[in-house]
Amino acid sequence: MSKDESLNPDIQTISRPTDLVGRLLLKVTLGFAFFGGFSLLVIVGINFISILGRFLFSSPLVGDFELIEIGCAVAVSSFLPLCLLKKGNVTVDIFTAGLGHRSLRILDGVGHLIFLIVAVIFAWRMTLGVQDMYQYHEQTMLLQLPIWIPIIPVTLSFYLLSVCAFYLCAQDAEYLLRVRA
Amino acid sequence: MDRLSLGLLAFPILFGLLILRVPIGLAMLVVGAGGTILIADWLPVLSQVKTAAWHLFSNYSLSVIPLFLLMGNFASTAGMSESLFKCASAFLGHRRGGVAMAAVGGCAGFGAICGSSLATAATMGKVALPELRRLGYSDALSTGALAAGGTLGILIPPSVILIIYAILTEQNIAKLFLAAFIPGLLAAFGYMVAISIYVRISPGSGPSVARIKWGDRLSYLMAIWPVGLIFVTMISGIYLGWFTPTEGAAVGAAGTGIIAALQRDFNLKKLLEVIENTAITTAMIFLVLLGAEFFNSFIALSQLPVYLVDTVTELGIQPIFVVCLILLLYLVLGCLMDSLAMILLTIPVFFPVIISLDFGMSQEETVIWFGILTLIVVEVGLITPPVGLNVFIINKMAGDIPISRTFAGVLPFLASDLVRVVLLILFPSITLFLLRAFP
Repeated sequence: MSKDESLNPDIQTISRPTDLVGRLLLKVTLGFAFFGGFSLLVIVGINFISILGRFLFSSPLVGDFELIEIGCAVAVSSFLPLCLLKKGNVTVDIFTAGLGHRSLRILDGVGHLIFLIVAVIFAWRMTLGVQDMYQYHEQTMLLQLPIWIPIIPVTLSFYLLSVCAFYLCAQDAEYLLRVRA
Repeated sequence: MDRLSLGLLAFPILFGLLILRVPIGLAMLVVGAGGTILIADWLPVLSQVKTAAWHLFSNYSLSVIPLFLLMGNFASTAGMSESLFKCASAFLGHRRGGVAMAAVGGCAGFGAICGSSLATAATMGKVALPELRRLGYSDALSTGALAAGGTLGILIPPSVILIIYAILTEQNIAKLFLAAFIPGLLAAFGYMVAISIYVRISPGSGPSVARIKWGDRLSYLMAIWPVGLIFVTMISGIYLGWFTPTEGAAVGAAGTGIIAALQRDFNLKKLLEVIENTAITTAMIFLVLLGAEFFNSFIALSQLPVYLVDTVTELGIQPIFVVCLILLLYLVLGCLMDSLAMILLTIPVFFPVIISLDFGMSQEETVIWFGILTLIVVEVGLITPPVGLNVFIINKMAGDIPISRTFAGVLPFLASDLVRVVLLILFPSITLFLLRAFP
């Protein structure tokens, strides 16, 4: 663990890309994550306004639940690409601990490939989902916000997730071709 | 192949994928979706994928998770671990092994504003480990106490695992938090007893320091009031229904955030670090949740839980025996798997069995009691070999101690865990006392 990352112990293996594409992707995913973090701070604010409004002025914030739900969905999805790129997802490592570097890289490559396929399917289906929501004018209950709008950033996160998974696959493939057993 | 065999087959396939290092959430998603496709064709899965992520991420009950994680990360930067450890040392340090007890006490205090064991171990370790080693505490005791103390992060509410359990079993989060309180304190106390027995057997391993005067003790106590205030506001507010768990978590996050912002060395870089750490842990948890969504809808479709309930009822096994079997399975699985994934994987299967059995309590009480037991047993996995994550974190922090010595240091705490689990199984009223006292 390097020094600045030691704060978060939930991450077991941390990689920092060194090539140009990787660094660019890291910047973009960090941008997404900070946007999500900002939305999380806004959620904290909304909760506060809602609590204060209820106790001090006995007028609850109308639709606070809906705003929190939307903010949370946007935040969580925007965190996914960063987590993938920084290898923050939990894996079971002990059974493969004794394997050599190359075998590990093959397994990781397969994992990244599955990730890529799943992420692409999600991005594709969710795009259709946005269209459905738009066509049927789905709205939130109280504030009547059109749902298709907040789903767009959530869907975009899955596109970015696909790009990151593709990048990791390409890295694995490149390594395996370059470094022969 | 019929549904039931598919359901049964899903578990070995899932474990196979896990062994091959496929991320847990992804593996659950793929196996779940695959199973559903085999039972019900492509269409339901394709339409589930359209909206599953949105529905899950925008679930109001789950919004409490990123907020609690934000709170814990703010607390880590806010330097509260140091004042907690100093305060506990002032009260306990003069005993033999007292500074190790103080480390456990500090962990308990930190656990009250942090819902993650790993974060608690890491944050307290940074403060307490150098101090313990400077005072000449043995390698095994100092790293063992901190690794075990870290599990208090999740045993003492708030706790991410309990939140997930509450959502899976449709229980009131506040009641589970309240129920976890006494077992959590009991855990801290049990760990301190373990230390005092340990230093009696091996007197050189835990020297004492000079007794501190009451006046100074009080001033140390004064320094930790923000932690107490945040915890009490949050938990009592949630329990008394002043606000929802999400709002409570937001209050906690704002509280620790303000304290962090008041630190002299706080800057934008630190804020972004807090966000980044929160982001990665949140994403990790929600990916597992997304996978579990697909896996569990498949397991429900396979009717495996119904079959299991029928089998257990037919065999007429003693209820208490069933609980012990399940907990034993958790102990074994916990050695290999992440605690969250374990809960998500097994509760949908075991929960129907548990509520079909009669323990002489109301159904709600049974669910809460079983939840606390599960929480403890699952957490034991964090300090058992071969993959006790807490042990690895503390050991890595120490740098020059063999991992075997840290695992040896953890043993007395494991013994204390087992004693506690047995007590809680035999006397459910320990867990349910606060709930019955404050209905």
